[in-house]
Amino acid sequence: MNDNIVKTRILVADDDRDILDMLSFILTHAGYTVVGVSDGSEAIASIEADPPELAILDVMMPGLSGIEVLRQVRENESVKDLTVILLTVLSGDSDKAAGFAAGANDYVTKPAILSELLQTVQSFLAKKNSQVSTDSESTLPPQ
Amino acid sequence: MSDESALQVSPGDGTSRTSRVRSISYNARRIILLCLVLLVVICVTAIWSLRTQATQVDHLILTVAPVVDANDEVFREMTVAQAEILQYQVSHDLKHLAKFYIIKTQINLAIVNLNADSALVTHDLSSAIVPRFIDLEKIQHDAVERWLAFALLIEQAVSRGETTLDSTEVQLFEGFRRANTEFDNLLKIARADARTNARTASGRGIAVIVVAALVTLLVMLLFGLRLTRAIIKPIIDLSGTMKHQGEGDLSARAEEHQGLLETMSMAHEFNVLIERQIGFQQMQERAMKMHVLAAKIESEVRRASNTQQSLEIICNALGEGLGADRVMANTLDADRDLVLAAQWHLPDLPPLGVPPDEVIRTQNALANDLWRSGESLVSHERLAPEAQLERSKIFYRYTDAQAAIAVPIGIGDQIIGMVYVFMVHEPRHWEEFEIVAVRRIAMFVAQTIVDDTHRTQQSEHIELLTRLDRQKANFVATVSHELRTPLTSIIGYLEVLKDGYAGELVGEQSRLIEVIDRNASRLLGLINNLLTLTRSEDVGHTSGATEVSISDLITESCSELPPTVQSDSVKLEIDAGTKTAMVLGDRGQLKSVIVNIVSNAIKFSLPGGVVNICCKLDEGTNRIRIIVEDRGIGIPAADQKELFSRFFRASNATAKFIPGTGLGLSIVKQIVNDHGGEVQLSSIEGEGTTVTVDLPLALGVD
Repeated sequence: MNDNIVKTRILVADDDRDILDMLSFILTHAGYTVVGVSDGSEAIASIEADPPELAILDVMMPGLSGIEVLRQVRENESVKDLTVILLTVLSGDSDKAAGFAAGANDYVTKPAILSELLQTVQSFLAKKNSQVSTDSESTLPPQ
Repeated sequence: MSDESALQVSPGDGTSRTSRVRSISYNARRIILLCLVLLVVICVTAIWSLRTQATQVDHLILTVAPVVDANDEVFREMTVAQAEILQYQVSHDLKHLAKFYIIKTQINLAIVNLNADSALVTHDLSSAIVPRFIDLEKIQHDAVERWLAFALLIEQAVSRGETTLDSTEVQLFEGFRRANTEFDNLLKIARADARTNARTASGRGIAVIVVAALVTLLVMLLFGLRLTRAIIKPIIDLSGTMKHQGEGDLSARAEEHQGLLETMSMAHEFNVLIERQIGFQQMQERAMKMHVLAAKIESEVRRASNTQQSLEIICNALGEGLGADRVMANTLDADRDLVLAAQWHLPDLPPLGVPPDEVIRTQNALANDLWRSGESLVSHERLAPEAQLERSKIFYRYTDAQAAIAVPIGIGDQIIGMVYVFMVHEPRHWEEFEIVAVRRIAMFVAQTIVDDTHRTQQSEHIELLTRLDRQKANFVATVSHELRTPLTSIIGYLEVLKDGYAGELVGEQSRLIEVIDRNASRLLGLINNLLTLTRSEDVGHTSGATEVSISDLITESCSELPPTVQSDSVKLEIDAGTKTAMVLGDRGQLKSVIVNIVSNAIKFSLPGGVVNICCKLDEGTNRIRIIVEDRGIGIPAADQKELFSRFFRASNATAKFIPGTGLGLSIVKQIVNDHGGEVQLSSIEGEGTTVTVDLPLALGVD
């Protein structure tokens, strides 16, 4: 059982391979399990098949966009409470507003300062865990 | 004179009227003639009268004189007879008796003479005298008889020897002598009477002449007055008519059917003049109306939104304004053929259909000919078929026109259309001003078409430019976004490296990574500026307006300056002012304004320089002023005008290889303007630059 310590799973969706790798690297380094997908359809499939604790979605992706994925997540009763951070090169006010309107928990523009992004992720998860632990105490906190 | 009286004043007058017409000269001549006749009559009367009187007097004197002589003769013979008889009585001498007998015979002869002469006189004597004349003649005759009888008695007595003288003889002779004297007196009276009568008669003659003269005078006076009245009345009437005309009563006419020939003729000429004047006036009014119509069409066309609408307005207005039956406007189509673009027609006429090819060809040729010659085609009536040109025939068949005006519409040496005005129901004499009006409108149409074309071209051009500009902005935005993607990996991994997640850095690695990181940040800054610029050009970007504290913004901006401009050798002096001064706007954009200005100030400062940043409130105008002042290299005067243009860089900046894109100030200006503010820059080369930004304060904030 100890070998199978369940790490907190984070889904990262980005069509840029390097960015996906980089995010995986830093998040893995921080002790999370990273599920990387490179388009919106994969992301939604993965979320619905095995919901992660948190999702970092790129907005501009081939096929389904990050916003579209987010919208479907919020419409799906089983995963609607998923914490979603949009990470995108779109830095305009209107883009930001559209992201929040679609239900994003946060909106971070690329290139992001990784330490800051990591802090944001950790604070979201901490908040969620404290809620969950008061509810059921079934999920283990990350290392 | 009768020929003059038959003169007709104007054609169409009734004969009964013309027969009464008299001229002034006719009347004057009539009067003069009448006077002449009267004068002749008077003269003849006078002469005749005088001559008659003279003849009468002469006649009387001539006839009375023998009687007087005869009477005297009787007296003389009687006296001699008495003397002889008395001498015989005394002397008894027979010689005396013989003489007495001789004389007695002479007496009888004298008596006979007297009787004869008297008989002649009796006719000429006045009736009052005649009985007495006859009486006295008889009395004398009797006295002579009685005395002669007694003288015989004396002779017998002498022969008997009686010598007594009887007084009887004396008495008888005395009786004779008295009768003779009385007769003589009567004759003298008759003679005097004749003279008196003659005088009376001549007096009468003078009276007749005077009366005749007076009558003549009266007649002349009467005729003269009548003639004067006949002349003056029409003149007064005429002047009255003139006055009425002058006062604007156009219906006033002079009486031309009554009066004298000359005045009637004058009145007629005057009426003709008035008619002409009215005709002229009406013409002028119509010309004026055409002028107004043309002006109205022009102003309506000016309001029209395109050529088609303009042509329709022109057709409608020309048709109604000219009272034409049909109006047609043609313009060039894609094949450069003149084709029907707009038309107007009376409700009872069918609209013109698409013209047959031959009409189009004819029209093209006609339009070009007219335009080249600078004329218009004007026909007042349809020519006889044999006089028609071939192209006219074609055109008549198509339009069915009786009269037409055709005016080409052209620009330069090019024909671009035609305007036609047709009369279909009847021919018409087109007035010059009508043709001029159509020409004027055609000229205006040409201008309108050209303007319209220019306008269309211009708006197409603008649209194209706008589209290109948007494409460019989109392109810049896309490129910027695309550039950010690789930078994300670069900057991210640099951070990973710096933080030692990928192992500790050794040797020079740390410094090299630092250089890479600084340049990556500079590249990012550049991309961000480009993005800010394209975004600020987008319409409706002010959606995210919030109340922003300028004081906080300045503090924040200065602490978050990009690493490229952060310099230890330049000192920032910040006076952020009051925190409550709020501006309504986009926080991110306003921040980039301050970052840009401060970055410039630092960039162009000399090592050891100072940059002053302060913020002042102008409560009078409700504005806040941000002043950023440096003592750097300054900007050449010649470059200052261009500073706010995109991609412009001051010459001294490029010369010193100070890095930059030339976007900063244009972004600043764009954002400040969008926020209703103003940005100003003053600089002296080599001394420094001051940038001031004025922004309106948010309402409701002290």
